[in-house]
Formats: sequence, C-alpha cells, structure tokens
Amino acid sequence: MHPIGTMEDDLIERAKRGEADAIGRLYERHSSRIYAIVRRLAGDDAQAEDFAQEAWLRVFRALPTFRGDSRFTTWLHRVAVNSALHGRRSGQRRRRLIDDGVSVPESAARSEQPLLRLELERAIDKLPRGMRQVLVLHDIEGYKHEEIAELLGVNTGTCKSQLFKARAKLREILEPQNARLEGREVWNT
Amino acid sequence: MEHLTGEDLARLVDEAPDAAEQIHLDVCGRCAGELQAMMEQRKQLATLCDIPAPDAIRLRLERQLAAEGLLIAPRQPGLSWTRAVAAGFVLFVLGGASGALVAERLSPEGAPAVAAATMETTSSGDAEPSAVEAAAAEMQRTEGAYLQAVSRYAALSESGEGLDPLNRLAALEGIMLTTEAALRQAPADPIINNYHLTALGQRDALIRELQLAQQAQEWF
Repeated sequence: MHPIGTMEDDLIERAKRGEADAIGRLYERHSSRIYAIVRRLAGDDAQAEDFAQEAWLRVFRALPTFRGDSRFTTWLHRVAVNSALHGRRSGQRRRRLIDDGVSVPESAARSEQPLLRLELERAIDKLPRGMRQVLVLHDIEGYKHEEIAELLGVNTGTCKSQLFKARAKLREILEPQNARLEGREVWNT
Repeated sequence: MEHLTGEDLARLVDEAPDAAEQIHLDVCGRCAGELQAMMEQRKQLATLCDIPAPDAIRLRLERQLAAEGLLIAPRQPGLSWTRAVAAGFVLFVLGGASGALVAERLSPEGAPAVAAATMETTSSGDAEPSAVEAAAAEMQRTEGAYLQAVSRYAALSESGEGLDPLNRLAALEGIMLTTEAALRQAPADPIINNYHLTALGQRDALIRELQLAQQAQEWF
C-alpha cells in the first residue's frame, strides 16, 4: 500500500510526462474542490466552467516546472483562485438558471441540510462581485485578510470592510421577511 | 437606544466587542440574537460542500491538452500485451476452426472437437495429407502462441503491471468478434462456443467493474 502523498507524487511525475491516465486521476481527485472554489467566486455556472478549465490548463501546462516545494493541492488551489479572480470572462455561454434566475451549484441538494445550504449558495450568488470574492475567500476558504488583500490588490482595511458588508448583506438576503419587517430598525437606527 | 448595525455585528463575529458594544449586547436581545445568527451563518459557510465539476470541463480540457500535445494517449492498442493475447487467441481459434472444417469435410460423421477431428482425419488416411498436416501445424503453432500470451498475461497480472481495463476490454471485444466469426462457420462447435461464452462473461463483468469504478477512476 502506498501512502496517499507518495501516490500523489507518483501521479504528478507521470502527469508531467503527459500520461493520460495520471492526468485523468489527478483531475478526478481535485476537480470537485477546484470547481467549488471557482464556482462560488464566479457566481454562475458558465463563468465557473471557463475559470475551472483555465485553472486546469494552467496547472498542466506548468506542471513540468512544479518542483514540489509547496504541496500540489496548495499550488492548485492558488492557481484556481487566481484564475477565478483574474481570468477572462467569456460571458457568451448560456447560464443554467434556476427559478429566480440564480444558478445554483448542484451539490447543495446532496448535502446534509440541503435546503439551508441551497439557500446559502443562492444568497452567495446574489452578492455583488467584490463582496462575494472576499466572503468566499475568507469565510469559506479560510484565507487571511492579508492574503486576500494581496490577491485582490487592495488594503486589508478594504478587505475587512467588504467582508463585514458581505456578511450583513448575506444575512439580509437569507432573512427577507426579517429584513422587511425589522430592517430599518435593526440596521439603521 | 441605537442598535448595532449589520456591519458592526458582522465584525463582532471575528473581533471582541468594545465596552459600549458589550453593554449594548448585554441588554439588547435583538442585537444579541442577530449576532448569534450571524455566527451561525459563518459556521454554515465554513462547512459548505465541494461541488462536482460538470463533465463538460473534463471534455474541453482533454481536447485542449491533446491539441497542445500535453496529453499522451494511452498505450497503442496494437502494441499492448492484451492485444498480443487476443491475436494469439484469434490465431488459435481460427486455426482450430479451419482444422474442424477440414475434418468435417473429410470425415462423414464430422467431429465436434478440433483436436479430435484433426487426429481422426489424420489417421483416416482418406484426407489429403498436406492440407490436414498444414492445418494441424498451424493449430499447433497458434496454440503455442496462445499459451505464451496467456503465460505473459498471468505474469503481468501477478506483478500488477499493465492491468489496463480499456485494453483488456478491447482485447475481449476482439476475441468475441473472432469467436462470432468462427461460430458462423461452426455453430455447434462446443470449444468455440465455450471460448465465446467465456469472453462474453468476462467482457460483461469488466463493463460492470468499469461502471462501478467510473467515479473514482476516469480515463482521459
């Protein structure tokens, strides 16, 4: 039996040589994780598909230069985030839209609390782009403000401010009845 | 009394409240409840699941990588050991089938088994020796090739090398095509029927295995 790290190293070495099955296995191992990141950062399926493909292309193009100084997953994650934050947006492809016009990741219905998570995913999609990016990176992916600020080219104060706005907005989206009845009093008094 | 704003509450998810905020939270159930709800929301965000990538991404990626020459196709079927097994088997079956046909033509009652038929016709003395001997020699040669290929298969299986399911599937398909062709010529031959049914069973079992493993082991 091979330890997982050794198996991954072996796959990486074979993928560097362009072996199709190794490339396929690396893709399968990490595709859901990578797609989740870019899907949430993008806010819709069509852009997410473009970003995911771009991320994977970058990874496999650059793989021969990967020396293993950092973990493969860390590197892959970073490439995916960069692709989603700075990648080209085609905007041409059809979006898969669900009822109110917001596309929803398919995983929501399979999670432990499907309705709650479905609502959460929908609410994230509704956030303005900047707020969404900071919220996804900080609250979902666990990045620090300094890292996010560097990725987005802003200062940490702006990053924090965007995060707090995003959380408040998300709460507002998730509690429409509460926001309608008590919004002014709760948020503005 | 002024309530805390949404952004203040969002900040308090990560940071400790200052004195004034703490005093307010101690007496205001609404703000304390909102802060609790926002903390819960933060927890939910951190536990969101991964999202399965649509198949379209893999297909597009595969095409692009192939176009850029970054993807080496799996071993060429014609060069693989499984093809060698199939080729040996094909020669063996074809050789056997021709032997059986020759024997059937030369022997009035016909012979169900290839080897028996060959021996029978050889010993009958009515057959043209050259044709029977040629068929027997061909059969021996192909049987040798087949056994050699099977030994190689066993060795590779034991060493864990080369267990490429797609190559194996291709080999089984090749065997089935051959046995089908042989059965058209000798439909009642029990040996060829046996080979055909064995290959069919192996192929179906392999397809079931591949379907089960599809999620875990996709092949570009």
